[in-house]
Amino acid sequence: MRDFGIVFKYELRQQLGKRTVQVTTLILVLIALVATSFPRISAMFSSDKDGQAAQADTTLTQDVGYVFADDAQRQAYTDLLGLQEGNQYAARDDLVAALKEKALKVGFVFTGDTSFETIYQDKGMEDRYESVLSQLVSQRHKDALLADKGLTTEDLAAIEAFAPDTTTTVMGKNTENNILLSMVLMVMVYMLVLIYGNTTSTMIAREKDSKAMELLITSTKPTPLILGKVAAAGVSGIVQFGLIVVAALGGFLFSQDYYSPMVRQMLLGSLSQSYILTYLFFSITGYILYLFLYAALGSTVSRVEDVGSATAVVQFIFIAGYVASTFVMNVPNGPVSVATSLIPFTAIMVMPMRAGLATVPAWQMIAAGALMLLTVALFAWLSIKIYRWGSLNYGNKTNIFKVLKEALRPQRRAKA
Amino acid sequence: MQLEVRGVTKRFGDKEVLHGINFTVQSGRAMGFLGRNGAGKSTTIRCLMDVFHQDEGGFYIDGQPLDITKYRVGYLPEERGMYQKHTVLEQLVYFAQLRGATRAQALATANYWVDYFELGEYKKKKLETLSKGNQQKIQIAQSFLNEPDILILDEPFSGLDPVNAQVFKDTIARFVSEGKLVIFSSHQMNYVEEICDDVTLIHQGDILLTGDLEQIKRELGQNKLQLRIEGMDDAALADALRVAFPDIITLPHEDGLILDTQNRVTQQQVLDHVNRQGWIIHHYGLYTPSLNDIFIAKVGEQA
Repeated sequence: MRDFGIVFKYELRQQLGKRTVQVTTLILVLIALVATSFPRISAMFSSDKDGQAAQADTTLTQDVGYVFADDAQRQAYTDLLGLQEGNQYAARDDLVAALKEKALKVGFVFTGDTSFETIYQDKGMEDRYESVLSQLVSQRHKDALLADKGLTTEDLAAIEAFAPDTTTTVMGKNTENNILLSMVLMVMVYMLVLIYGNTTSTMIAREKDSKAMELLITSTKPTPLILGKVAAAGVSGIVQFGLIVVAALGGFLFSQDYYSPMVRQMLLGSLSQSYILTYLFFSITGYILYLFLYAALGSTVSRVEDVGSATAVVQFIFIAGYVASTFVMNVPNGPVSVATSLIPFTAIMVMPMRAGLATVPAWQMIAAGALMLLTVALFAWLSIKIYRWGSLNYGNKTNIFKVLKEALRPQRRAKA
Repeated sequence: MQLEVRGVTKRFGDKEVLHGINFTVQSGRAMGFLGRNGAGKSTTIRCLMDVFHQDEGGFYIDGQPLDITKYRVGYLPEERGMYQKHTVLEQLVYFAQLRGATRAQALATANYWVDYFELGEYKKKKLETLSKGNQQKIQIAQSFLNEPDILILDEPFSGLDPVNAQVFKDTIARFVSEGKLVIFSSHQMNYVEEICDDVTLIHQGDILLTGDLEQIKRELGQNKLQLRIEGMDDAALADALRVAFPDIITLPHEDGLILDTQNRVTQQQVLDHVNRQGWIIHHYGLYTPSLNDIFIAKVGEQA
């Protein structure tokens, strides 16, 4: 226990003391804070709604030219838009000439009550003048038709706004409400495992690469070494992601009034105590399980550059779990969902997802939790054995079966 | 304290690299563990350090099976390596703590040895920024942390310049004088000869000889003379002497021909013969083999 503490503190200090980790964390925290505060920030910059409206009103008058089909139409649009003399041209050729001289951005040539041509000299990506005029022409046409029937626009809006009076009661979980948060949390676990799994295996491979391993295993036993390293990598990952979550939560709480009610419901609707506990239990235990796997595989290679190929099998299993959890979104209580939520390697993401989207029977939750704990213990023990064996297996090409066979071979000791 | 290596056998797959080796090491007497590349020195040391597990036999200390974790052991592996990206002092403190020191003790011992090797200015530098020689000194310093009871050093002189080698020799001598148990392997016979009281010679997984170095020298020098004559090469001298003394064995040597009298010819008979022949003696004396001679002779016998 004493040596575990020494290894843990040393590795944690090294991990969190890295300038790259500190800078990356700071950047990610700021991004999380700004991203979740975005609705409030954007509201601050869009407070001058009258000004915007005024600007919108000038869309069809500023640097825009018109050729009307007849005088009645000219009069109607002049009144409607407040057109000046400078906006109006007698013929299409005059309008085109003005466009060529860059006196105008866009020109419209009406060929009837509801038909017009749009002419640009140069059209930018954002230029949508014809759409704005189309809406105006449509609205005028609609108003005219309604007037023929003795109706107003407000009458039509009232008819379209009708909805039956219904009430929906959800006895269990509301997938619609919970899916956003579940997905966000799943992606976080995915990133946490991949980033810190690779960090752990690289950390151990580097010790072999630099030949520090022999000093370590002759200074203490493999158990505190591997447990200390995994715990340090695990805690540094949780600290880093925890800071990002706190920043994101802070940004959200700071700006929650600026989120639409639907988004608020989707984010806060799932935050029950039982969901948080389920998420934390399976994410953290599953994360530890994967860290042990990554640590064991990191000790089977001699060079840091071989870590990727050695850990590919674990990444494949983990990504399979990720894919399974996306499948769960559609059928949270289907047989595949149930099976993958019980298997510890996939339960890390599938069970929290199921718990967010559906009501999981208690026996399944207990069985999955027990299996997860047993598997973590088994793989912790196995990783100690593999680490001990792998610590001095330099250069030899190996495979997982040979590693297990050699690592589990009983060792003899001197007898008195 | 007496360390006994008893019948240690080690196999890697089908290949047996140690064939039931036996030797003993006494505390207060430095033991040089010699052998060619691949002879089994590092494997023996790694078995002793419990890095490898021997297949047969064992290590005993004062008659009891050795549990290496119960002793303060300073170990310098053949494969040098520490954390390149970590600072010098922090990793020395870490290793000292892992070997049982409190943080305060670890700081004290780490500071002491870094200063001892005159590397105080590098305490807060990353190891990778030090020269190879200074990195080697840090490696050696880590093996001295916590005042070890047992020192096991695998090729400690490699990479050291003569000045640092002298500092290191003095340190080893200090540990020996304090009654510590010291084993080190080396190819550099002159260093071993200077420092060691005992030697063990291993070749292809077998112990060729082991024991007190002076006694070994005396035994191997018994009945041997060394002679060089002015104006005569050693081959001609050997031919001439074999005619006069058919029972003697002659061996070429860079310092003069070695005559193994087999205890059948006396020194006086040889000198009388030289005088009768009117040869002028360039060098004459009792032959005491150097460790290098012993090594070459013993390993050569096995070749």
